[in-house]
Amino acid sequence: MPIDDESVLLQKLAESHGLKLNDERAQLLLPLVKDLWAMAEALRKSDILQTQGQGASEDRTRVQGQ
Amino acid sequence: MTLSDEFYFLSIVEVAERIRRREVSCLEVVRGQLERIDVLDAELRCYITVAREQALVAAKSADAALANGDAVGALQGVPIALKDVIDAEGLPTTANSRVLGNWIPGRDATVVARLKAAGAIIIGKLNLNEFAWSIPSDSDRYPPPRNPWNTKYAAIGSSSGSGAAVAAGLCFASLGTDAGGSVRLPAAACGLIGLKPTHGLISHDGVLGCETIMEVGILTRTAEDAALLLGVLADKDSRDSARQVAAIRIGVPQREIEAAGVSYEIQTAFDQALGDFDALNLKAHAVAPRWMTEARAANFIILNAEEYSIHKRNLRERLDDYGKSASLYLLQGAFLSSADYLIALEARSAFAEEIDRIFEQVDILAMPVSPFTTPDEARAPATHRRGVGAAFTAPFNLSGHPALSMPCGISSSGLPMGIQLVGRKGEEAVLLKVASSFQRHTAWTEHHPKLPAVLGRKPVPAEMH
Repeated sequence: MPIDDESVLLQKLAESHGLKLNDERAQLLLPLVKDLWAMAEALRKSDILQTQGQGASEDRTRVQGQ
Repeated sequence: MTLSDEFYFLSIVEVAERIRRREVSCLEVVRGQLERIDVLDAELRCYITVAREQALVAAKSADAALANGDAVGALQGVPIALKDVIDAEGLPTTANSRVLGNWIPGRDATVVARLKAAGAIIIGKLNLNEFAWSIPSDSDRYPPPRNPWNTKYAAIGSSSGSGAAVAAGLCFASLGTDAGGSVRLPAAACGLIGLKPTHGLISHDGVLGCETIMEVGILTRTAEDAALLLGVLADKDSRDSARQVAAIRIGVPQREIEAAGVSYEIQTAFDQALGDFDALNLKAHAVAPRWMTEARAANFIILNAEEYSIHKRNLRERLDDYGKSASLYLLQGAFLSSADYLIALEARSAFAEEIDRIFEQVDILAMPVSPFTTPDEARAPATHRRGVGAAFTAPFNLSGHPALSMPCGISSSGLPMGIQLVGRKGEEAVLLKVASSFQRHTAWTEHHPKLPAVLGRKPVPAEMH
């Protein structure tokens, strides 16, 4: 199965941490990471915080924007 | 003397008393324990390491102390086992991972030293999800334990072996670790008392795991045994309430329970448990803590960030030494920002204050341990990914309040179900007092899984071990 664009971008993000993800691992990891980002996003928007969070990194926006 | 299988389902309080009265020797207890492990554990897969030689030597020493009339500890001669992220001198700590190879720590974790000082016999190291994270997986170094109540099901994790071993009578109690429910969930799945203490009450020294939200927890068959172990392990005494049991006010976060999509069987068992509390004159009051969902998310973010930080070097250099499942879970934290982590820590403070505020209205909180009955559901990545199975447990890792799970029913698949009690910080004694009253009233803790007979089938030669 050919790797999708989002998984390729996740591989590039991983490389910035010195991590080498093969295609299978990147594809399996992607939905977990997207869920984690969704949780972080929901937390940033919650009224539990006294102040608003600082927002996502540019790299993350790139991946989510695909 | 040949001990019966039933002996291995006695409480620690009862066994320790029989040993002190010298009705049974420590060596007999340990030999019988090892025989049960030898016969039953090939199927149940609770143990990664059985401390055969060390346990026999310790048992002989414990018997000698009793024969000499020496002062002995509260756990003299009682076999207790450890989740395999807790160091014991001379025994491998594997964390169920190929990454640690055959590493053997040179000293005991503080909790192990305390157990030994109280006379306990360390009988072995117990199976778990790799590095106490991820889900039960055949890609880990050792395959996951089976639930002794129904071996077609998992024992849930991550302290799966710690739950299964106590439930199966393969040790009298165990220690686990809990960073999101990893003691309370297997305790519920295996019909046990599972106690996650107040953050910081029990030492983490010599224990693998993330510092901010993880606690060393206790799995036992009775509330009295949990209290006994807590007294041995805790850095300070737990506060009891001046209130009698009947005056303790129970808060039920009904809105949050409904929002979590609790299964029919769990809801029915929980409602029955509230009825049992009512019969004990423990009155339930509706409460509405804010931010339970946010607390679960924040706990999940902290867990992921800290686990990645712990493993980042090995993930870079030895990724294929991790099981496939564990590698995915441990990698997630690489994709969180420092802002995400700091926001989660900020939420931690706010949620802890919110729970403290709720405890101005009531003395304890009660809710199901998990929204689900079937372990297979919790194993499915689609549900586990967001930690839905930990909807009621993870928030109290974040807040640091003590929480206890105890059995409150048996599901249609023959698996125990649990109810969770949460208390004020430092008030484990209140939870244990209520749990003790509940277990006497309901007798759920007297149920045990049906397992093949082991002891008494044939004479046990003295030199067998």
